[in-house]
Amino acid sequence: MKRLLSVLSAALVLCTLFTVTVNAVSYAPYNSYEYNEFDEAVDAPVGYAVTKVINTASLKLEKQIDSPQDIVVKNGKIYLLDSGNSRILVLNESFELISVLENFTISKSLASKKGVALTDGFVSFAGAEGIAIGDNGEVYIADTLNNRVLCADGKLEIKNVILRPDDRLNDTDASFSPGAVEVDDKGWIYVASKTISLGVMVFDEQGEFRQFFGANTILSATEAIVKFFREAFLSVTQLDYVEQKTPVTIQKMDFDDKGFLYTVSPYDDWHVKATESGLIKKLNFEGKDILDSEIVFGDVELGEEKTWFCDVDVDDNGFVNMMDNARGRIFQYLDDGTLISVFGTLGDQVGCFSYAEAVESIGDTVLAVDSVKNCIFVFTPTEYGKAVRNAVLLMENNDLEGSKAIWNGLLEQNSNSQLYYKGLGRIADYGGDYKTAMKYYKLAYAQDEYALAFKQQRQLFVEKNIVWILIVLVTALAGVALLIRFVKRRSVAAEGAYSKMEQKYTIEFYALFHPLDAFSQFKLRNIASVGLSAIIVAVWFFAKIFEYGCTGFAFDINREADFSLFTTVLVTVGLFVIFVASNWAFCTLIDGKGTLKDIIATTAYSLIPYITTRIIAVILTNVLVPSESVFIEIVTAIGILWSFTVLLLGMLSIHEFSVSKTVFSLLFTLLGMVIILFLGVLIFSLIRQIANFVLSVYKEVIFRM
Amino acid sequence: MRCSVKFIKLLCAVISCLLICSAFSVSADKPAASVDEADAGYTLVSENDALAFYADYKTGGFYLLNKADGKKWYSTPENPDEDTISKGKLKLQTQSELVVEYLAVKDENVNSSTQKGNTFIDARQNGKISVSNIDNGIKVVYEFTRLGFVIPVTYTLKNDYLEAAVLASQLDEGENNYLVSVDLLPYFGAATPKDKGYLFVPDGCGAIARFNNNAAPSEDYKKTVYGDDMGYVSEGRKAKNENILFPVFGTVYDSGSALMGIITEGDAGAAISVKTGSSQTYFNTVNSQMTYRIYSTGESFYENDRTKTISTITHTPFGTERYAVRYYPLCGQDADYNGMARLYRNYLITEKGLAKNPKEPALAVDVYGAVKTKANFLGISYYKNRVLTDFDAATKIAEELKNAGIDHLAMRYIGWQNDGVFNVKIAKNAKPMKILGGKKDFLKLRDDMAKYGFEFYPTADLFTYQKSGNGVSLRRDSAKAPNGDIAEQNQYSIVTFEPMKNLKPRALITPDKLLKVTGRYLKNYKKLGIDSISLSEAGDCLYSDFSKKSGVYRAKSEEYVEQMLKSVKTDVSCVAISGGNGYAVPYASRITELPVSSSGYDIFEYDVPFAQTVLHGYLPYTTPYVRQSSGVTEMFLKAVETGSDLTFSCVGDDTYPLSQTRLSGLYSSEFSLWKDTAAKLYEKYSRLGELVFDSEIVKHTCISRDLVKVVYSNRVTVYVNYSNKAVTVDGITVNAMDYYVAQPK
Repeated sequence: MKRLLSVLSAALVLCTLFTVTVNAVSYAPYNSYEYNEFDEAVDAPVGYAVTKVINTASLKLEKQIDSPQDIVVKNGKIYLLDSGNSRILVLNESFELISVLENFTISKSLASKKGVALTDGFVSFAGAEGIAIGDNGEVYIADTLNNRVLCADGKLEIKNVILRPDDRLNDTDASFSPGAVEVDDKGWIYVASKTISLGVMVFDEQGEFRQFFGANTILSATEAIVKFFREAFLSVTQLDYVEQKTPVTIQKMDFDDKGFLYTVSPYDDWHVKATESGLIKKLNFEGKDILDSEIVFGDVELGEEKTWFCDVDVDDNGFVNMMDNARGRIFQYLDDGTLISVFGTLGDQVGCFSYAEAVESIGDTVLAVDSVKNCIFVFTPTEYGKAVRNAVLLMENNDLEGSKAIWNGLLEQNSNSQLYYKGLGRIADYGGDYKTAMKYYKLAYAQDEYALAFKQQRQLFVEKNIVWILIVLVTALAGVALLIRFVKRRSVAAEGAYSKMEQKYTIEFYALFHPLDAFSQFKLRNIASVGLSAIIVAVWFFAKIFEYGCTGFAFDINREADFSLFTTVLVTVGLFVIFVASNWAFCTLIDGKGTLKDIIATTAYSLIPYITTRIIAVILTNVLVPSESVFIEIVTAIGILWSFTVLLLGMLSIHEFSVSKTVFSLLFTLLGMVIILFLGVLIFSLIRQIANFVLSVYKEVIFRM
Repeated sequence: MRCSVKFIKLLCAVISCLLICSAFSVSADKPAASVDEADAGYTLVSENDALAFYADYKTGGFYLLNKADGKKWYSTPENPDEDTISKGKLKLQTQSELVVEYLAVKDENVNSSTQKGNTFIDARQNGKISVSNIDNGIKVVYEFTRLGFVIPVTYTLKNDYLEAAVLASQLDEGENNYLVSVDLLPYFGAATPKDKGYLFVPDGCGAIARFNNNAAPSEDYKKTVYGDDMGYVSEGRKAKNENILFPVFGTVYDSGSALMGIITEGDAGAAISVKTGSSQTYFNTVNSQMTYRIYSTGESFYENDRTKTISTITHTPFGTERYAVRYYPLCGQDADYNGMARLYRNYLITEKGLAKNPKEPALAVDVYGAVKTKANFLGISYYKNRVLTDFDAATKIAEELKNAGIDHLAMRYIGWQNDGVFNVKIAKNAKPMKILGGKKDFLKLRDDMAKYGFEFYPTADLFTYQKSGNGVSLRRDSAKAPNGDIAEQNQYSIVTFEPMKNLKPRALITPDKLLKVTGRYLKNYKKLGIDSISLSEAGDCLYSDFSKKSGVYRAKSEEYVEQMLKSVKTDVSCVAISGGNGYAVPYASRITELPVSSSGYDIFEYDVPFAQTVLHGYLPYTTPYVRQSSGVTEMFLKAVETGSDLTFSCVGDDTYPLSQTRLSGLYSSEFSLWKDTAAKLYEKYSRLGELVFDSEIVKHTCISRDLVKVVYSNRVTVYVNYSNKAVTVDGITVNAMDYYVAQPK
């Protein structure tokens, strides 16, 4: 008998196990990634995977879940707004159905006062888009289609109905269609209406309107300028055709446990090309966004679709989950912009969305609602995901020793990640091992941290080698002094003759100190050298490469693979050629006496101080840190001024212009350069169009053959 | 010699006499009884000991009687009227033996989509169905008068199956429409909402879709057998997918009967589609589909500065001469996915020559040699080879693993020759890369591997290339897409799913050059004196060349790949292939990266290791990379469940700079990072593997979603618990995220 019972119970267990429709565990049908310093996506291990699917079948509901719109976790219970059926499903932490909130009642007097119509004796909220749950189980429903917010007690009786606060909305005839509702610990109700852009509407516990909160700003600076010009130049009728810009409305909200309100706004414009910051806000008590305005959440590598946040959620540990409806992804961040994980995509697989609707978390588990698949995906962190969250939390709490093993373990699982190198760098840094810290920071592309570690390391180096440094410095200074003396001596010439510094291949140095004298000799003695000029321009080109490859890491991150020969040639040789061409063309017109050869030599020789100081500056970036960059700026400024002076005086003497005419000619040379560049771009795009045309003709021919 | 010929002749005569006698005796005994039992309108066509085949000569409908359990399998649902969901054309479609997809000739090269027709409306009602007898079966000619198609199909009863074959070579398309595809017997064995059971889908390792699961996906499951045709698929996938490896499918009723289909001819041009019951679909069906022409939409020429989307169709039919599917009714013990796996294994053994060649449990290591990275010298950027693991390092890795207690190692060496991991020119020479240590170090590695008794598979890619050279031109000899362009194989961005611009697309060699390239390469390879090779792409890369003049379609490509493998086997005795498409499996001595899960579609309830059940005890196979999976423990348990050797991707050097190359997905492959984990896991795995490596999997059961039980032919039983709680089953407690091996006493 006993045995029979056990068999029966086993069979029962099996039956229940089989009737629950839950899908495969470990397969994640999406790639996970993170962004590096260059906004490139880098593969990363999957941080979250679906372990359970909650749907009509798994909850054994008779009526199919229909278009669930919102999900809230309160006091260990999960509330799912089953919008199409005008009900709320309540689940416990193991995702079992404990009750269904439906058939809300209302007293007759309140119903007639607020104009609430009843269906079958109950209040329907089909099509509602948001719910909030109060501390004592009160239910707040953003009844979008009926333009009202329903406030019910825990016994399903509606105690209050919030309607459009007409007296506070005199300026606008926008309807009141609440899309999201939240309630704070005072019992005040925050309502985001889909059509009212003045901010979140705050009502007190009595349902009286109190204030607008955290509105999105209307115009950015550039948009304001564009608007100004539009209004200045367009007629009134034309203006009517220009789309009237209003600030975007707030779509969804979530309070974190400290009482900050996170809001998410959609794009207002289809033509926004890049993901912007400011779409996710963390509002303080005054309604001010306290997130760093530099942070851009979401995808930075963009294709045809942009990240389109539709919901935001903050979990108990302060990790923020943001749901991207366009690509069906959930991004998990720290609010300082550190990306923890990306998961989900679009498709017909488990973990892929048809229409991502709402996101909520319970502990470290993320619940994601799909309103077309009518289900909740339960995403739980993988081994890797758990480790990352732990490590980041330890680091937040400055538990450096405790996290070292974890960071090393993470590195074992994902050697692509900059986050871990940064973490390890920080640990080494705090431990006083600056050299190791620098190595890790460099791998993490963490410039600021690198600079600080570098400064410490430099301090150590200087303390240790002070004698040697002094010796080197004194020797260098002495060397420079000797060089100057040497040059000066050679610059002295006998009467009627030219000094040794005024020969064909030495005059460029002489010109730096005596430009008028030197350049006026070009005509007299024909000593301008095109070959020498070419060498100088070549040196400029190589100095540019040197600058790219050898600038200190704290100042600039240049990757070998990103180097573009074309740009480098363009900004050195190209610029030189265009300047010379433009100057020659223009000065010939206004009777300049300089020949092409003279112009080439003058321009090239005057570049010497600039090139020299650039090289010195690059060397200095390897000794200094960005906070001391004023020295570098001084050196660079000296170089530019010196070069410019030599150039000005040179032009003046070869063209035999007055000072004002030289300045004038240089200005026009610049204008000429702009024209040449413009023509160049024009020709380039023309060639490209022709190439495209030829290519498509070719394709068509191949295709038709 | 002569004597023996005579003897054989005699033997044949005797056997045929016996056969005829027995046939007569069968037909003499039974038909009267069977005809009596036949449903109204149906007449007995043919029968044997196991099955009887009845057909309706007016409609072309039929049913198959399984004598063992008396189950009748109808070609279309018995009671089509009970379908309360479908309406109009779709409802009538449920009474069709064929559903055709076609494109009107006038719709070619404009942006238009295909239409559907079916035998009930277009042949039975508005056309003609003629049925004639053939040996052991019938030939049905469906005339779709309105569309102009004439499609002959034969249904033949064989020993234990019914073969349905579309005679594609005798098919007439008419003039107004292009036939794109034919769904063969889409409702054969269809289950209603009243039935309990599941559909078996060979997606990835295999998956189960329960009847009436109400999933209602936005698009029905339909997938090409053996993966996408890379000749025309040029879009990045938004979701990761596993391929269909074996051309099989099945319907299983919990009541103990099942119907299994094996596509035996035209499998390379087949697709499998699955529908489960929901509020939008009444019947639960799984069926196969023959491709007749390739219809594709693609961006073509520029028009007004934008690319224009048009639909194109191939002008020569796909090349399948006969599309044949065998339907096996199963019952009792065999009526589940385990039985289907056994049946398919027997099919591979008897008809494809799969041999039993098990190997002791091994640790699989994929060593990466060198890869091209962008570099620049004095401002001139170029691609240079970056060493990931040189031969010396690989030798040391093998030695260290040996010392760590790993007795069996299967090392694939990827990117050891010519241009590194990715071919620049097509492979011709088998020259160990200088940068990795040259031939001398390579031979040392070879000798050491032999000394330790390790399997060593240098990997050669004979399919892809980026530049003309070695006698193969990029333009002339590459496979083309339907629009005439080179069928470019791009690497796609994991964020935008668009082709990555900074990585050059790769081309595929046209399949009819494959044999030549292989022969040439192998001559050079043999000189290295290694008796094993890994030809990954031979197992997972099947494509058409849509060149207008010299097109080679997948059906033909499959033959070329088989010939290629056959020729390789004459020179090298051990061949490792990747993924394991059905046609390549009989030639393989090891299958790498065999999926251990399905793609996890919404319609699936759980995964079953069908592929592994087919292969276990016959061939060694390995898991996907452990390090790049979503969890090491989970992957280990999957390996235990499926009997797969664990695979680690291996790089001797530190991997950080890999993030800028094509191999950026290989994070954490550094040998030192995983050596200890691997040794530990191998030690555990091999203890089980030693017990079962040469046994077959007899029964795999999902006791619950997180608990599976695998019974081997030597009665060793393995329980694997994927949940976070300990579970007691059959009196055995299995710890959380752990497994238990029960040995027969």
